Amino acid sequence: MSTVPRAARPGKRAVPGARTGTAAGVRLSLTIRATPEATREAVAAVRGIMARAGAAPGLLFRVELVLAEVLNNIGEHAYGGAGGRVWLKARMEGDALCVTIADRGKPMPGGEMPEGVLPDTEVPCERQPEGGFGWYLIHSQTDAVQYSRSEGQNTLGLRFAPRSGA
Amino acid sequence: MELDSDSLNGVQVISVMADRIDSAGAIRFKDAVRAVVDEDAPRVVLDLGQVAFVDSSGLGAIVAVMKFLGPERKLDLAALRPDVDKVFRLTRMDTVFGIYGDVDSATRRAAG
Repeated sequence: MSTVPRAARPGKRAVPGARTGTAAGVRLSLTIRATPEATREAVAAVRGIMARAGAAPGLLFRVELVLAEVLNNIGEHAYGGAGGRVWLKARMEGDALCVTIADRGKPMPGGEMPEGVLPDTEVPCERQPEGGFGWYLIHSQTDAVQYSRSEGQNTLGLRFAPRSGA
Repeated sequence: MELDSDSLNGVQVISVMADRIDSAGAIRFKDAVRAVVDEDAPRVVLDLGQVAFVDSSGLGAIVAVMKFLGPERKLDLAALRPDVDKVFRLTRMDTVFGIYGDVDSATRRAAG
């Protein structure tokens, strides 16, 4: 009778997540300053970690874009450009990637996150929107978003379930 | 931000020599494009072939460039990589810009 634990058996050792494209085994925790430069580095680092863990290109796109939008919002609105701290944690829950992002800046206006309605693009050139896309992208590229405010801290929970071709 | 500027068939082609147009680079991008725009070019093509990532700040900066050029000078985009193309389609900004597969098709069209 074998006494070798299953996980310790040599042999087949696939890249984690390679079969499902979901970055199985990803678990990370980062603390960054909410500045555009730190955001750029952080989102590229998260993308790199997920790519090495076998995440599909479509998921990499969604995670990189949504994290960039969320972190930029925190830098601009919650901290008003003061570059406060942001805590980011990511882990897999089954097939879905769950990311929690916390900051100690100002609460969202009205205590709720924006709905994220796409700005109207059927307007003349000079009235085309230069902003207002962020929350639309966050909502459209995630499967669930939750916001809470407690004891001076904003917490945003993001869930990325696998999508076909992504 | 580094840009290359060329003239092809009377069209000014501005190539963005950076891999990201994001919140950290959006203002520098706008300033750099404004500095190289040829006042006499009837049309400008922005070559995004080197750009792997655009966020909403980068998208806003590209819209700002279009507005800077004004209604008389059209801004078209060429050589969008898949993730950049997706951001334009998701925000329906693909309906605002002319989008071409590569710089050649963007400039040939103008000549014809």
